[in-house]
Amino acid sequence: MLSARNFSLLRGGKTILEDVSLSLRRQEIVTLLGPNGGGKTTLLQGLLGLYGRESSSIYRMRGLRIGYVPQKLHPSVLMPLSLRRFAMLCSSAPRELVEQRLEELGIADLSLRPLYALSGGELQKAMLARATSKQADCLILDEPLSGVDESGQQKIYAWLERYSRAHNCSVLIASHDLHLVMGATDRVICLDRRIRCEGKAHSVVRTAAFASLFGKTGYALYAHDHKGKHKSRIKTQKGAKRR
Amino acid sequence: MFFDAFLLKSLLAALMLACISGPLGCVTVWKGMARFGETFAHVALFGAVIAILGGILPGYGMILVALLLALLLPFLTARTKLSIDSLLGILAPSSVALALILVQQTSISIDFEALLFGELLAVTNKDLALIAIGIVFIGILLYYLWSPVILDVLSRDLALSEGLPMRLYDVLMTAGLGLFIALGVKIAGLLLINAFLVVPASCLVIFSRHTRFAQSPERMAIGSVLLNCACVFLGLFLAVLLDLPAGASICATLFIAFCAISAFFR
Repeated sequence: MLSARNFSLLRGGKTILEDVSLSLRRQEIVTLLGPNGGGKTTLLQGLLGLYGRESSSIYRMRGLRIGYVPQKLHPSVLMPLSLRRFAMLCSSAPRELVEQRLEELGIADLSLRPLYALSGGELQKAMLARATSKQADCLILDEPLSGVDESGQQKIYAWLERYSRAHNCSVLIASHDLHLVMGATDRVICLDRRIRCEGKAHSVVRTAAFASLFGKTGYALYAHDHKGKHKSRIKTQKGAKRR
Repeated sequence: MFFDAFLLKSLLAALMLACISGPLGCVTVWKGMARFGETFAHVALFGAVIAILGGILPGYGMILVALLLALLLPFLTARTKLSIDSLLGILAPSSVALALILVQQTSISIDFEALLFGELLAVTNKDLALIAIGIVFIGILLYYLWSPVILDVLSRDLALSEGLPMRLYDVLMTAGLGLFIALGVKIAGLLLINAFLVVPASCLVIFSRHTRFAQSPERMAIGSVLLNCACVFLGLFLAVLLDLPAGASICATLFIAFCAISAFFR
């Protein structure tokens, strides 16, 4: 429903993306992993069609509705815009649905606060509420949970998974956080200018390309995750921190 | 009656400009383009000179050049990758310099004082009609672009991802602003037209932070309109009462309102 075929992008004489091909199928959750500056955001923006003519190798199903969560929002302190108003801005979503999303994401009691008074994590949730309330066929999320605390992240990933199954909605998440994303994901794509490796989570992490991109720690951590100890491991880590 | 028919026209003209500059001013302040009006006004001066040289009415020259700038500016920002503020800082003095050189070389005469302060007390029926048409035009533009512009202020990527043609909207919004200034300069002058745009919107920003009033973009715009209109009434009243220049009197009233609000809410 959404795909890039041999998508390349130059910026200022530098190759940001080179020959990237990927496609997103219905109801699929794909995680885009990559180091900083690896072109994750650029690729997502390309898929959204933000590069005009340069995005000619991007193919979208006709009438595809995309919910987008950009990496960061910079609300102007000069504009008094409430959270609820933001969630409904330029969107055809009915008010009840928006309020339901705010409720589910646990930010309903902030709905009258101005955006500039919200914390980073609260803003991310606000954008997620906005993106998911417009009945999108596909969600494009650019590090959607940066600034959200760890237990919150787990909850939201679980919620996102339920949401995508219930609404027949595919999800493409860019992330550099190796531990938390992979649990729910169907397919992992590692991007560092080019696509380095791709496949099911457990097979990707065994590849040499993955190790060279993320080093030994990433690999080691994931190996535990794969054996189903993912959650318990994180819990013990957190427990240790609390003590 | 205190406001006679002659003054009534000035009042009407000033009120119309005050009304449309409420929401228009909010947009300029949100987009961080508070210097926009100033630059436009300077460039409009250049347009007036060209128009006089070309034998057409200065007003048309102003509108034409303002629209040209509206088209050019998004292109210039994209090409030079400078901030809008820097570009405006380059364009404003250059256009005035060009205008001055032209005036000096061709020995046409331009009433710079009238440009600066306007001729609020010499409003004609034709002026009123022109402003009314312009305001309806800008009002329609604002109505349709309001939400997209707000979203754009928050995040351009988000606005683009909704499929909104933001480049076109940029040009339209700038053109609307240019039209407003070109219309307003003859009557209100450069000073007042810029005060109309920036002062009330800034007051309402302070208001919105400290009170429960003005807690949405729309309320902020309505508040700006109210404040603008109140200052028009008070400023004109003082002008008549104390025999002050009308435009400057309204401008000073706006400034006093700003001082009072920023002193009261700290």
